[in-house]
Amino acid sequence: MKALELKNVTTTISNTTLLEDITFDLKAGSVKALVGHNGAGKSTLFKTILGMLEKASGKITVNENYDQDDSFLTFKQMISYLPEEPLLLTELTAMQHFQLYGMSYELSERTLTERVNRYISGFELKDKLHEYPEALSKGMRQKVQTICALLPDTPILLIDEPFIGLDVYAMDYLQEVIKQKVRNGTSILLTTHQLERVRGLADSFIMLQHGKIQNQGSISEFETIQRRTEL
Amino acid sequence: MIRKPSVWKAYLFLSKNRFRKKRKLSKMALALVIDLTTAVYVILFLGYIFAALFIFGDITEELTPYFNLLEANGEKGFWILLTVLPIRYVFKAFREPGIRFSSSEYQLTLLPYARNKVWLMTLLEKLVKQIVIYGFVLGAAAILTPISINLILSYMALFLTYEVIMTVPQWKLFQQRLWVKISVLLAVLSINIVGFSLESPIAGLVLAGVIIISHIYLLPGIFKHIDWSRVTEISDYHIWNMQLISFASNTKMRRQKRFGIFQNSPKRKAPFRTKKAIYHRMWKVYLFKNYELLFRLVGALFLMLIILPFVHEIALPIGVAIAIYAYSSVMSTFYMDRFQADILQALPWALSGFRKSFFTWAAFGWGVLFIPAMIGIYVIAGYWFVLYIALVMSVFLYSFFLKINKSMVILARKSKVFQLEEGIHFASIVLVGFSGVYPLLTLIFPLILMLAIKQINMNDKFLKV
Repeated sequence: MKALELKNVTTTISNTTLLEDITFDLKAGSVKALVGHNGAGKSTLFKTILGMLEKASGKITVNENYDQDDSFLTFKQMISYLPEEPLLLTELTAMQHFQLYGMSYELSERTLTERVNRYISGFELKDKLHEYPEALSKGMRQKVQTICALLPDTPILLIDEPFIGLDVYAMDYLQEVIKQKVRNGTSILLTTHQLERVRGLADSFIMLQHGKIQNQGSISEFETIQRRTEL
Repeated sequence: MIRKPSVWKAYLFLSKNRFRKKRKLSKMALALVIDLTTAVYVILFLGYIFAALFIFGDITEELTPYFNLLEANGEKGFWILLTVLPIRYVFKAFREPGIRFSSSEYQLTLLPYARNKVWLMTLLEKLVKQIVIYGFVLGAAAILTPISINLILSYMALFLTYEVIMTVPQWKLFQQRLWVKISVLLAVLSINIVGFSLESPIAGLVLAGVIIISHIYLLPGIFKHIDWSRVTEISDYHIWNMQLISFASNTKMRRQKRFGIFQNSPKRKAPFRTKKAIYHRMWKVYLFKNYELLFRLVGALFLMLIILPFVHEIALPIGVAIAIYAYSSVMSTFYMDRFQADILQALPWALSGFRKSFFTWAAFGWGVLFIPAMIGIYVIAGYWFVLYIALVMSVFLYSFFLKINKSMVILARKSKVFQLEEGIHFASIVLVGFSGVYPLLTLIFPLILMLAIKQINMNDKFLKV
């Protein structure tokens, strides 16, 4: 089953085209790496999928049934997003952020507590639960944001640069959690510049350049492209 | 020997490059918005209008009586302005420090440049800009109008004097807590009321004197207890929030989020006990960030409702109708905008839950407007008073929930049309306006209340698949 499908998606701001004719799909329980230089359109693509940026044309569907245009509220419920820069509110503590996510994704209190306990232990945040973001280091804020995105069990998980700002233990733990999520059927679209890390995770890739798909295929093909480029 | 670098040169370098960047951005935006041919035609057209009005035409002569009236009032109002002008700076202190000390200036202070000197440079730049702007506007007034040069120069001197003497008080007041700002505002307003009742310049002169003397107390601690993070954040926002760029790029500039000092009680740090508490906190966060707009709206409508009964007895119901319409329209805009801001953008939306908690907040503002409206109506409507209250409340509920429900439909990207409801809404607003003349119209309130309840009970299930 196609967990996520984009058909001829184009995004423009004023008369500038940010994304042009993007078409790809993401199979259920798979990981796709979105690669490209800075400014290639990776974050724009995420924002378009989430509806934070309105697309000019095309179709975005989750689980082959839920179209972004026709069932936007349900569509949003099926995607979890981990942004590159934490979106944390200075007025909420780490725990209050987790509760906000729990409420938004309609998690039961029991599930929320169980998952929060699991992740704060994994990311070593136990003693920071009731701290405001300004009292946390940059890495810890990134951990809080990461936990927020991991809390719901959505069919789609969008991850923008997952390993930036995390220490090596947290990176390993996140990698494990991602693998576990995939085993449970979550489909992941992630951007990263740390290709070594993503190699063991991703099944396929999309290479973006100037807002267009330059290449896409299985991750083994990407390695061939990379070797050829390096040669 | 260590040579001290020149602050002046560093600041000039910074300002020059900031100006260049802004010019470059403006050029890019202009190129997007308008092409060269259109630009030439627009300039020619504006030139033609200017020439037609002021060079070939006799507009100046035609308007001479008005200018004379303006001059006469200008002379009379000069001393009133002396008392009124500080209000502007006190109001501004609620949202900006008065000095554009951006993150770039702050970076300079991390280099071997003294903070007070960099601050002084920003003040100098501000004053030079003000002199140029006032010089241009008042120069144009001197050339194009028959108003006396002396009066124009007096006004320019007055404005510039206040720019100088209010800089430090505004800077320090900006750092204070809300209750201090409100107290100062009330104090200045009280002096103004005294000034108006005395009809003499004494109040203004005393106020100006107090402001000048306050510098003895304020200047030694000018850089003490300053929240630089907030100052730089707001300055960055004001420097780079260019209307032309926002228009051309079709994007709204938002203030950069900083993790500043946030004072909270342990109660606020405690986990939420209910969903309701989460909704309320999210609204609190949003409304606190937009309190300035909210104050302005409620303040303007409140003043309108106080003044209107003195204008004419049928004017108040019309004012109430306008207040219902304006308040519910702005509230629905707030509701929509809530989901386009901060972390909520990226989360699924429980629109009904947010609507319910938002009503509690919106009701506070409406309560403020309701008090003067009801006092006025009580005086005017007599026996119809109770029915009038029922009508106003029903129409407000209908208007508020209809507009919020429409916003929910837009947010959910659904295509439900509210044509009939919009028609009823318009009719009910008109009804409130006319009920002052025809009190019998208030008897319709049960029908509107029923329709309002229908809107209140509309949940977001139909918005989902």
